[in-house]
Amino acid sequence: MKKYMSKKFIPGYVLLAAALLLPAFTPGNYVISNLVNCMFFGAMAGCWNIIGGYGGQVSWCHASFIAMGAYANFILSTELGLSPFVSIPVGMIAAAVIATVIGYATFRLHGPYFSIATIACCEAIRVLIQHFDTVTKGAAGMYVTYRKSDFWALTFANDIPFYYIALVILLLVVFITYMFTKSKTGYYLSAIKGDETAAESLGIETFKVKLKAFQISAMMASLVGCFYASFLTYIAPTSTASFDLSMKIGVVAIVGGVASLWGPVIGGFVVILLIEATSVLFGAAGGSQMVYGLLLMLVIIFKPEGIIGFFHKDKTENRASGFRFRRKKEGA
Amino acid sequence: MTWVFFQSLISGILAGGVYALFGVGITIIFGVMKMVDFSACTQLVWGMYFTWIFYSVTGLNCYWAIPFVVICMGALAWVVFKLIVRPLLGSDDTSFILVTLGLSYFLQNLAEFIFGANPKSVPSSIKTSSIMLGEYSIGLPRLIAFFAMVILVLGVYMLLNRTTLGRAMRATSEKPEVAQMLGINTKKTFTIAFMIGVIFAGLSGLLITPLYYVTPTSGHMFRTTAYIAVIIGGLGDIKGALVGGIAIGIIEALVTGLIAIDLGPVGICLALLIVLYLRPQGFFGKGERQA
Repeated sequence: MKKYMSKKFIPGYVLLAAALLLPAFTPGNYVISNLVNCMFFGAMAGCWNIIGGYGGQVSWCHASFIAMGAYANFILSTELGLSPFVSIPVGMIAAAVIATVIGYATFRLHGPYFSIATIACCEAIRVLIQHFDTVTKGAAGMYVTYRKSDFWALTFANDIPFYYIALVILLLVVFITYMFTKSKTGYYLSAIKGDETAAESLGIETFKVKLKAFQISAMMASLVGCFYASFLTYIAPTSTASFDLSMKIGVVAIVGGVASLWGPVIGGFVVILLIEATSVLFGAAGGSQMVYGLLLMLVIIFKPEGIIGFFHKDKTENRASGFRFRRKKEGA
Repeated sequence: MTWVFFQSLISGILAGGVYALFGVGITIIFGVMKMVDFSACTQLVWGMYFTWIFYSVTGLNCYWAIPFVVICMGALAWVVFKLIVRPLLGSDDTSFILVTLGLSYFLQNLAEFIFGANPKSVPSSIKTSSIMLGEYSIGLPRLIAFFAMVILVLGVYMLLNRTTLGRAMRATSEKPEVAQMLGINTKKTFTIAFMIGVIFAGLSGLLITPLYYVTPTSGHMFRTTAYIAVIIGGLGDIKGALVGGIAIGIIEALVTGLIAIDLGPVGICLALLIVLYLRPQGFFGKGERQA
């Protein structure tokens, strides 16, 4: 217990207390709902971070995993009247299966194969959701109707309960990420990111480690997706399973800082609020979406370790995070 | 049933021609620079918009826009290379994937910002005309696109194998350091390879303007199909891109014709997974794995 009382943690506790008390001092639903959005994106980016950041395998199909959680939630609750909490394991299993299929095909290879396969699978899953419209209502999308404030059905009169749910999920994702990085698989994964061939020659089964990390990442994303869907109350293939959402998740993580515990969280707040501000200024189409692409390019060129890089005073710690730059060329 | 099959086969081969052209552009960039250009699908959209601009200014048939599109795409490629690709030369491929995807998203939304989301079309007399071959019909724009692809790919093949520049490009693709030591300006070869790739993407855009509406999201169907074509054929091999493009065109046409009209991407995705299971390096690839 003493470990957690040291001075180092004081800013963290202050922030947490501020986060817990914030809804009491915030008038209106607009600010709260934006903050919930930020936290959900922070959590999604945290899931992405496990495979994309710590593993260096850039996935563009996390939206599919979000969609698995979201659709499991909505299908089970609208068709069978089950609580969203029951649907969590269903969505997680579906996400894990997809992750295994993609991982099995691509993790034996080095190079851009994984990224291309994930883009293709993201598109395929969106199309599949649209095609089986008897269950998923196709392109029209699904919605839950608000009847009464009910925690087990995840329907609330305003967004304040979701604020606390999102906060819990965000902290849960950070906690799982922390446990993961301290586990054997986590260390193996960072070795693979450093140099895959060297890791393999040291006896690490790179294929299995990458697959495991991808499955964990997918299952967590599905969990986040389940609650995110209840927050949105309306889901459609274009909003939950599209490449655009995958892209946003990746951008949030990268801008915040990959391979760092709090980078995606910072990214969530910075990117989502920035987009909200630009869409107020320039309109929702085109102008504000441009910012995602611009941010991604600027961060990769000028600050590959992301916003979190500004907070790291210790340069040795800094070196571990971010995408590896100037990889040594083999031979020559 | 047989009619549907053969008609799908024919339209698949012709649609595959555009994928192949697009894929050859990606392949040239990958072959020389060892980077996958994920922004090619929005470069194609810009190619379509340049064609549309040319049409709305001059009112001429879209094929007259070829020089204009080549110049515009070349200029775009040069700017992109200077601003975005050059600072990253020498870094690992993850940075390239991310930066080109960022560029792709940026260019797509820039197009939406400038031209709006409403679909534009480039009308032309040959748009709906087709040739009848027995009982099968062949769309004329697709046929033109296919032959344009054949000519362009042959041209690139000649460039790579018969000219000094092509030799320099092949040397750079083998080992940039050694090529540089032997007096080849690798930066210049990189620039030229990138420009050729982007121009190919733009020309693919031009060739499909008679077939599709011009919208900022027109490139989405190429985001999956063309990259998978390149992988199936074997990354970095022009023959592979050609065969892979046509194979993907056929698969897509057969799935949409015989199973369900909207399941094309699923069939392609399954094809990709199967090829990666059985032959990870693709049909013609030499394999990515080095150790």
